[in-house]
Amino acid sequence: MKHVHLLAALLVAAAVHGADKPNILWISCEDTSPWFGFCGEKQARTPNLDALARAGVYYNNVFASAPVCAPCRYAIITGTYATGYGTQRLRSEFALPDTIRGFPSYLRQAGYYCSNNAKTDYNTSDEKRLIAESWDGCSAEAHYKNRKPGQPFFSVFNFIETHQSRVFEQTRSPLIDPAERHNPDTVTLPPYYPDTAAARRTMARVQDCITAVDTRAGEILAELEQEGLKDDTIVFFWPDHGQGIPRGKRTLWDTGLKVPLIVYFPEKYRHLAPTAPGGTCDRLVSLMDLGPTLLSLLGLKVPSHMQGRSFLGKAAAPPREHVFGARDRVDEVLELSRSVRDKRYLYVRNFMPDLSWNQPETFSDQLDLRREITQLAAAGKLNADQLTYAAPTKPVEELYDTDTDPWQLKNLATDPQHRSALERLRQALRGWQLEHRDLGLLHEWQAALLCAETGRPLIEAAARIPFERILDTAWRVGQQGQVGEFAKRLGDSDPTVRYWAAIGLRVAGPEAASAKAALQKALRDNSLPVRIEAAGVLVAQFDDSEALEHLASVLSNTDDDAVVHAARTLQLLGEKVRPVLPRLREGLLRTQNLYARWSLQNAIASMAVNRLKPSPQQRTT
Amino acid sequence: MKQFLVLLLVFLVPLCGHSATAGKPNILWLSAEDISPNLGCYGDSYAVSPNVDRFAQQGVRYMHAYGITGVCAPNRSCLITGVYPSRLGTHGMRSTVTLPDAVKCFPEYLRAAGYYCSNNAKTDYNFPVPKTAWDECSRNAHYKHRKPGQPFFAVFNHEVCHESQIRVPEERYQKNTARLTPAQRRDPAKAPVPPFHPDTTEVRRDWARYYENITAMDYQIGDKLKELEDAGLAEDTIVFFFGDNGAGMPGMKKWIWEGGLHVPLIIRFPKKWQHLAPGAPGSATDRLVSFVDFAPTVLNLAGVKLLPHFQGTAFLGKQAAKPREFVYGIRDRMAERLDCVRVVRNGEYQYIRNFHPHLTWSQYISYTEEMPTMQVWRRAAENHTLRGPRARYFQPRKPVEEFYDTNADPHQIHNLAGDPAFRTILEIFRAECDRWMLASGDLGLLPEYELHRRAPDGVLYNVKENPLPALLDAAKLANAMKPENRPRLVKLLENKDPALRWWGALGLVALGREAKPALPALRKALDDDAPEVRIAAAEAVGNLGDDAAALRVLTTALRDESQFVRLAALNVLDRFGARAKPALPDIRAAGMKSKDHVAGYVNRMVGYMPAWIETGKRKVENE
Repeated sequence: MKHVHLLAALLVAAAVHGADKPNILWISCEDTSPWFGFCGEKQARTPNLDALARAGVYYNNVFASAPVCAPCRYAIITGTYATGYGTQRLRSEFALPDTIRGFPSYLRQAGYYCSNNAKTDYNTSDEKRLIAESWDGCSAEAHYKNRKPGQPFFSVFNFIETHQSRVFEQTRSPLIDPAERHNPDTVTLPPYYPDTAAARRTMARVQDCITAVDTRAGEILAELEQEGLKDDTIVFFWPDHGQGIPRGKRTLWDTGLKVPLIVYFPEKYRHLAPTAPGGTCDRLVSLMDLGPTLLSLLGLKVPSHMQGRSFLGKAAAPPREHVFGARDRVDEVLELSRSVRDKRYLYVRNFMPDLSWNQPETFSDQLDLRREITQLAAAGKLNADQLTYAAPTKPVEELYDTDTDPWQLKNLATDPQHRSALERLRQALRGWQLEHRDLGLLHEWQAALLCAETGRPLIEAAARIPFERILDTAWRVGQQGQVGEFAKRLGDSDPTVRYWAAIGLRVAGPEAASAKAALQKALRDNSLPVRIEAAGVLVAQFDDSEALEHLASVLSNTDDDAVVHAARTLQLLGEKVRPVLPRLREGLLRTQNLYARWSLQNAIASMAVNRLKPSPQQRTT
Repeated sequence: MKQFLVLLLVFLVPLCGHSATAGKPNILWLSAEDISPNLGCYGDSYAVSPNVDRFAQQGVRYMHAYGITGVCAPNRSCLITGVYPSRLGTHGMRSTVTLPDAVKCFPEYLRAAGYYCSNNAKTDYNFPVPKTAWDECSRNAHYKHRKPGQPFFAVFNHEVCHESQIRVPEERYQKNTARLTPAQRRDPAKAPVPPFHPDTTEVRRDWARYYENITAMDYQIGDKLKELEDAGLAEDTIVFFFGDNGAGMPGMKKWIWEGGLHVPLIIRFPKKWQHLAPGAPGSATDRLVSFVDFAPTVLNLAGVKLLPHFQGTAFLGKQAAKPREFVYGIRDRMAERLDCVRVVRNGEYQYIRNFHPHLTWSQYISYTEEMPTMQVWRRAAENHTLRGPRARYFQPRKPVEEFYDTNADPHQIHNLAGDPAFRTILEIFRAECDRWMLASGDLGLLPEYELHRRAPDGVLYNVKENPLPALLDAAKLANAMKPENRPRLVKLLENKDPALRWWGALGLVALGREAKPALPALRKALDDDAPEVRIAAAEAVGNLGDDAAALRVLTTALRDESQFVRLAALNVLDRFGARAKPALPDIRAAGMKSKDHVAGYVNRMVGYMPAWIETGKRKVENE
């Protein structure tokens, strides 16, 4: 009888930890473009990850779904589009349907020990639920060592050494061997940076941070080997999105979205790999595919609501034709752009083309280089390549042929030779927005209102909105001859249609003059975002004091979303809001919201700076 | 004919009684000691100041008038010369400095233009009062002693509101405030205690007394104004009322936040000069004015040509200068305690650079410690009961830079120097601080012994070896407190300029334990030729574990004939506290016979340090 039990136990152990239950180790890091040695970057010093790539597969066509962490990590943990669920801003607190689960929960159901060390940042009011269902351990001590003997594991180790904040010179420089430090005098600069001391220091620091991450990764890999687990563990290495420097993080070029991915298959799982060890796979992958891919690798069912596509394992989907990117509000910076990429082309649609990629941004402006770029742009000292990022506005559409233009500096959107690519990708993007209901088009004040009115998660609360009309209105922004249509749609029954009509008039600049009456009427709109945008246009184009008063009075609203929106609008109007400067000061004393405070402080400080601009030579003692 | 002549006389005599000849106003300065704008006319509802309030209705209130520092003597040296104390060498509180020939007290220029100049009576200029400065300088000095028809510049200073009068015994206090009616007495329970002071009965009593002293001063101001009126001179005299530095309360006087630098200034223009006023009677102006502008302004009003050495500009009169963008401030040695701080302020923001950030705000200054509020505050700090803004003053270190939005944060509690939203504007102020220090010929980056050593004939103004760009770079390297600067600080220790070596040593002191790799270089510096370098190196070496070597240098310094050297050594020993026990006999023997102020500070420290070193507690007077 004893022998039977022993046999049963052995069989169970074999079943649980057999050849079809590999351990999975994820080494992830923050804010890093394909600038490692194994990506072909000559100035990188990354021996550990280079070795991992030589032993595994380097995927060189991998993209994040958002160029900032929280929306991106939401998409990874759920395998769904953030834009579909209202989780595309950094940061927000919208609720999810119960069907949306953290994908590791399915692994746990299949007997896996799941540990996360330690970043979550899932960008939803349901974050606690996601964490509880996904992770057995989720902390700075979370480790596969805590699993039951023989239990298969899925463990994540995330490193912050390359995070945007670590590039600021105010923070401690990365702890690496001094011999490995990169020399600012000899680093190579990308073409979109001016050749200045600050740019060189930044690139050297970025590479130092990358070396630091490589060291951390090496420690994790060495530990795995010491634990005797190397042969049973599939290892993934990936950053969450592009480099945390200007024209990287927060933008939709490859420099913002493209990341390297290494997947290392130990011998017993090599049959799952798309190439031999050391090979490169150019299959188009989105980071939101990671969850479904793990499920597929482990022979688990991929839930139908997941929109990511598995790229490995039994249930691998056919390769993607496109990856999609979304940029929405980040901190106090309002913005909306979308992108679609195939293997060759990148298409970007900017829905707020009147805003610069280099618009004032409190967090990012901690970097000396970014502030220097702002000054150089204002002084007219940047070349065309550098102005792709730093120009005061953006094009409405962008198209890049990455085959001939890897840095994506030459916008082909108006080039007749690439017309068919433009139209094809434009259609693909628009189709994606329609099919997956891009709820990012809703202003968050309006989205929150819908949720409050229905008590449902946003995706359900927004089921009845006239989405096609909203999308159509947004796509008219920046196009010629739309002012009349926008004026008309300012009277639409749907508040989001009216909101995009107001944005359209904002982007139209002086042409919006003919819509003045409609804009003034919109000052009494019952939707705050519409009022704020309409007021902003009236101040910008007509110095309308009633509109300025309207904007200033929103600062005393109890709703943070409205205050953030009004504060940012006031900030971007610059000197025009000087008549209400005391109201900005009052607003600053009143609001606790960090993003609103940043906008107001910046607005006040900028006006003070403007007063100080006369040259020091004119000053005495 | 006789009748006609009599009539003529009747008209002429009153004309002779008016002292102003065409275009030459009389100027009257009514100054008050140690008051911030705690007056009814400045919006303070707890203040009772009817005479000054009425005066403000007749004149113009300056809402942004600033002293150079938070204490009288350096400020007064600037008021009387129109030159920054840091340029004259009068920045230490107190010092004895020799003026250069080129710089006169400005009343001397008025006298040359025919004015009668009287000062009643405080001088305290940090330099000996030249006999040529005043026609009369005493407690009897008065414009009534002028020749008939002579224009005058007269100063009357009011001491009843000085910090010392807050803490005088009850009998003396009642005498000082005898004129107050019961309704004018202040209820301590309602006193507006600032958020950085502890809230206790002693503190409230001090604040109530401060306000009552202001009322007592207000009576005296009323007297002076009535006297001017009765003499028939009000229509010919431009009258200034101002404070010589901020409120005599801890954290305010002797420091350079608003409480130290911001003073009331009200100027009344008689009808014939109303056109010179920045606004109608009763109005207020936001124009930035600094004490360095007072001398040029008075001279300009009197039509006297300004000489090139003036560092301020006229804010009144024909050809007044353009309004200032910035005012500037300093804070150097304060009695027996060393520090070096520079300030740049405009109407909205105040920038502070702390060159000795490793020293606490609350260094023990025995004179200040006589104030009950200070005693209560320090006791609470020792008992660790302070929280929030009250605790900040006792933090062991200061930030390298401070930046305040003075409108949003009038008590300057929220330092925005690290806030990304203020990065750009901070850089403007930082650059302006550098520019001003260089442009004004700042002598404050030289340690005091070294400064005096370089002065030909003791005239600090004429010091030629003041390599400011190099000194400023060294000072900024030292105050950054960044370990990665250590190699460059060690290199500074080898510089041929002792002042640069001193900043190198100071920077290593500020690094604390991070200076350890520099220990060999610091040991070498214990034998440096320059005593202040030896003393700074001793502090670093002691803090890195070798008190014996440190005390050898410091006890030797206590026998130096220079008061500055002894004072610097005592400062370090005081910071050592109990570690300085072996040096007690040397400390006790370090007293000096000289009557110079700095020797006096040496003697004060010699007096109170033994108890501190032996018991670890500061002795409190009257305890």
